Amino acid sequence: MAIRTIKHPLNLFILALFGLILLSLQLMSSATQESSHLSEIYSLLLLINTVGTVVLLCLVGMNVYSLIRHTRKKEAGSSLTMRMVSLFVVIALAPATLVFYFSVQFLHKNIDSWFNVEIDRAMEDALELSQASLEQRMHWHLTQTEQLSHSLQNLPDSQATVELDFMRQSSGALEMTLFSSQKRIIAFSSVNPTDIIPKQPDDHVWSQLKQEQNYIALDTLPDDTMVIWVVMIIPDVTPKYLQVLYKVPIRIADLADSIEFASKRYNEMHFLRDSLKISFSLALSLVLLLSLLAAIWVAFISIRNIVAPVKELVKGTKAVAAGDYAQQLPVMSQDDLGFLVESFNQMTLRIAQSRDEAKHASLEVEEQRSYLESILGNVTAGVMSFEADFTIRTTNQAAYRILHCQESCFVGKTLTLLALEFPSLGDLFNSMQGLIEQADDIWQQRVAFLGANGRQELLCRGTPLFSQEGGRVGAVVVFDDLTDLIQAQKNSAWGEVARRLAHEIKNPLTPIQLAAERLQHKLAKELDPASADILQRSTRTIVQQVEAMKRMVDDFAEYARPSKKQVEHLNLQDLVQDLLLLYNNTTTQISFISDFNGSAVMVYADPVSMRQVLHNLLKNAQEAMENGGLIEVKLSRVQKNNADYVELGIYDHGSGINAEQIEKIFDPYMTTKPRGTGLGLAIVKKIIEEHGGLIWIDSFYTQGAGFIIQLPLT
Amino acid sequence: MHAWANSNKKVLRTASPLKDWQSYFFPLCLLILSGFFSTETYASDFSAQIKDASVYSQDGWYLLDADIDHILSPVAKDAIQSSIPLNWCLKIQVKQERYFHDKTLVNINYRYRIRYHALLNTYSVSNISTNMVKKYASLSEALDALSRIRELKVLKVSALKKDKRYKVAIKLKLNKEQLPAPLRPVAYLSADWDLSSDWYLWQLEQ
Repeated sequence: MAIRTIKHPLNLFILALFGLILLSLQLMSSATQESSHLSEIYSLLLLINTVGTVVLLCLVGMNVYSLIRHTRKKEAGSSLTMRMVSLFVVIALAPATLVFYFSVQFLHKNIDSWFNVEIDRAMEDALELSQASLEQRMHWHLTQTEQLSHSLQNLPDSQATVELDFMRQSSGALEMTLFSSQKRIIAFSSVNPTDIIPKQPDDHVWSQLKQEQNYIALDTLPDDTMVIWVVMIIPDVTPKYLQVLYKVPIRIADLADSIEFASKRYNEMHFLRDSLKISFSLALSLVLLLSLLAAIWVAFISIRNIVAPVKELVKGTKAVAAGDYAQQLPVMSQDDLGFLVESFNQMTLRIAQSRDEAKHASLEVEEQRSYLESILGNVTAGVMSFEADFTIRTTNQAAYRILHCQESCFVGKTLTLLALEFPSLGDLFNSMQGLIEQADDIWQQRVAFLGANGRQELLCRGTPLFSQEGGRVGAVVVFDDLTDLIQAQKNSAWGEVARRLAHEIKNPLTPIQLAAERLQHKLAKELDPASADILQRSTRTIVQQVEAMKRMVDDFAEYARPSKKQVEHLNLQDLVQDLLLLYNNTTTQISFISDFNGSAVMVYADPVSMRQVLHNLLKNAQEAMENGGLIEVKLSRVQKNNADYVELGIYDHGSGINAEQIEKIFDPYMTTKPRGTGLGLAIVKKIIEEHGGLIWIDSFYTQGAGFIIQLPLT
Repeated sequence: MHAWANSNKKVLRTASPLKDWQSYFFPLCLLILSGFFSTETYASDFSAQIKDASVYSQDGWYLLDADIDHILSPVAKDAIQSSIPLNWCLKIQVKQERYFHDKTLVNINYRYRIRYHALLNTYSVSNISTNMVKKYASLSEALDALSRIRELKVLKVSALKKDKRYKVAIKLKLNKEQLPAPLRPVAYLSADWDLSSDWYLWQLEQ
């Protein structure tokens, strides 16, 4: 697993975002100043900051939601993050709230302190004073105009302009205009010679003049000069109107302006008092919210960054606990946590190495074991190992093959138990246990027993096993099946005997027979009848015995002669049924039972030899029952070592075979009959073995003699 | 003289048929703010009422006569008294009716300002476009003068085609963005400052 690196989250983008938010806050704060040109974009700034707050709120909300979800799922590091975030929020919120509360308090009190009754009154008084001052001046100018109007009474229109000029200069007025009763200009005089159009009274002024004799007001000219505007009726035959504009002295005008401006500002502020409070509180709240939310968001990112290695460590530890030692965590910093992560990585690396070594070693051991097992499995000798309590620990395939048992059925069982489970092997197991018990060193012993497939003789070699402390921990027994070997030796010896007999005995027999016949032929005529009779009987006896000896020698020759077989595919069932017909007579009855239900039982065999085998066995059976009886013949299918065999059983109801005879019944010259040569069964066995089959006496059959022939099926 | 019959007039109080996103932009955005402050559901008790309006042709021009009732809330009156100027805008739009999207022919904004002069104890109404200032002794006089709009030039008669249909819409709007900055958030949220009228719409008959 490659070591990853984690990107630092506080990148330039976030810093720039915070910068923008800060700038926006600063601008908004400046915008609340009336004079600032930022005032125009105040609403926009407020909106931007609000949107910024909402965005941050969403970000924080998403983080909180994700954290809660992770905590519920009990994900690694989530509870630590939760604790740290909660702690940070509490620590950040408490002072911020306090500062906010006192700031708002201070702000409100400060704004309130701008206003009080004294200042209110002072402002009102100042305004009133300036108004009074102006009113006094207006009153004075009204009186002055009244006097002027008297001097204009009855003045012809032609002189009016000159008179107006004179009067304007003497009175110090800015402009003087004389209107006719139809509101037409009669005369006009201005301090500014470029002015050619006088100020025109509007409808409002004319309507007031109808009700009262004069109109007086303060006014400002387009160039912002403050003037006192007087319009008065000149009582005459046809009334005229005099309009005079007096300039308010600059000093008084400035003072009045100043007072008006101050009053305006003060009133405005007074009105905006609550709005200002709301506005400042809003700005303050936004600052607090923005900074708090930003701080919490950054805290989330930072804490996640801090917790990341812990989270990775927890995940890594869980993986290691689950057996995954390939964990390599990213090293994000060079601090203590980084050191911890590095140590973790080293630890997992070492564990992985040790595990690999252990695995390698165990693989080697396993290889060795399987190698040994395969050797044991392939040796022809049976091998069994025992615990100290004679429980079988291992057994190779050869052992099962030799003992004709299913594989793996011995392991984990004691010899005593096995002796009960397999009665045919009971003798073997009992003698084996005795031998192991007695032996202190390597031992060797031939053990013969009557197994399921007849007599077997094993050569057992055993050795006790000792622990390093010297205690006995078990034993190993190796055994070979000597049955076939011994039989072969026996057969070979008998063959030799037979060959010699044939050679040594048969040769003198013909001269003996010829000599005896010649004796009788020559002497019969010369002897008296009594002697001739004796001679004839003796000669006949000699000839008969020689004939018998010849037959016996022929049998031996037959037994010893290497077989000349002509094997072919043969239906054993047909052969058996053919032969049975010959033996089925009045005294002997034969029952035939077959598993094959008439289907062909094909074996690869020489028909002549097989006929002889059946013939010998049936004749034996018939001879065993001199007074007649039942012969049972059974054909059945068996499976051994993954191969199909046919078993032919021939059972008679005769005298049976003694236990002592069973061992030697197939040896030559072994006979229980008075006239038998003792070669019948030996030949049968020889033929069967030459066909790759087996013959044995069914030891479980007790009503007579039972022979079982086993031949491989093709 | 009044060639344009005043039938077929209707007042749309629900939504503006005209594209005037700016008038909704800030209030909408400030509605977000309202999440942080308690808001009242405000009725437009103090909205200006357009009582009557008509357009007629005279000397080759279409002229507008309108009677608008300014209903100022006590707070707004107080603001004027405290020397805070109120900026108004009379919006006049003439649109040619089309199948998909109406074509705007005229979009006039007449801006004027009412303010109080403490020293002179007068109320002045200044036309921002023409810089004309008129003074009144009382607020009601000033408002009365404003409520009568007479012979306002809208567009030339030649600008309209005989075979097309046109509609005229007017609205009086208080420009809240020209209030002092601290007052603006309050003005957007409070019913006391909801002084603008609804759109007044009618079919222009040639």
